[in-house]
Amino acid sequence: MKMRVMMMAALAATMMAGPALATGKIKCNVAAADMKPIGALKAELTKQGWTVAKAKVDGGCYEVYGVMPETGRVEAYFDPATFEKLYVEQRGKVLFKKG
Amino acid sequence: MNRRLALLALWAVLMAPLAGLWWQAASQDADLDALVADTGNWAMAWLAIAVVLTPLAKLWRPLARLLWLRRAVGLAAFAASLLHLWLYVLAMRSFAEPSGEWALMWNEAFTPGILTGWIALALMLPPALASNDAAMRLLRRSWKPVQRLGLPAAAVALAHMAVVHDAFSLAMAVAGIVVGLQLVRFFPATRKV
Repeated sequence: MKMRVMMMAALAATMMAGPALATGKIKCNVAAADMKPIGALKAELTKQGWTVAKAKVDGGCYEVYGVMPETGRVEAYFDPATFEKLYVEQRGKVLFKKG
Repeated sequence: MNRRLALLALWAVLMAPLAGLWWQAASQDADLDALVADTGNWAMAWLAIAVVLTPLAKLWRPLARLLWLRRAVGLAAFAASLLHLWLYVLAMRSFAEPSGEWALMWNEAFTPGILTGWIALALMLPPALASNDAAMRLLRRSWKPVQRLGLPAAAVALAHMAVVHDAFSLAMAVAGIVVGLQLVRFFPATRKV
């Protein structure tokens, strides 16, 4: 019985610890007024040969899912004020991170 | 109720949410990426349940009489994984030139997120193929080790979930429950005095 209670307590502790481990990949501190429209980023990337599947705001940055020429399917983060590329990842493999 | 019919009925119930996602995928404006993630989460849920049923039955004895239903849960996890794979192909097709989805998939096949998915599916295949009475009779004592491949499959699938679907916290929570319950296997069975 004691062992059973200990097991349940351990499980409950693990479940509560789980969400605390969440981390953002990258963060941007850009005022809303300084952010260029996300549609403009999509248009610029399309012009560069990207196929953009989805673009949204994540951690204050613009996060884009799409196919990057010569690379394949990626998840990329851009500065919303300058459209500078900050981070590119392909299914868990980091391809680029601004230093 | 006939056991085979009961297994089929449970499998159908477990597949109902997946059928809904399949239906959504047929729509022109379907968010295939989201559907890939959703089907993966269902596959993970059924796989996690399949591998914790035995230790759970050790903690809660009445469940032991229902352990034969585990086959339906494992097969639902495998079927959900196949649907997850098919929607992944469709999602890649939506970006690619005609027939270019295979090149796109090959291009990322060895990235951590995708490779773990392929390995998990490969590990699930033998137990899925052996989840029938004929295989049980044929494999005899080898049948259990084949079924136990579900455990490494669950571990690798959790890694896949954490990396490729940005679901680290959820994967860790599920891993905590699965690992915690697996520890019960090593405790001696409690007896009523």
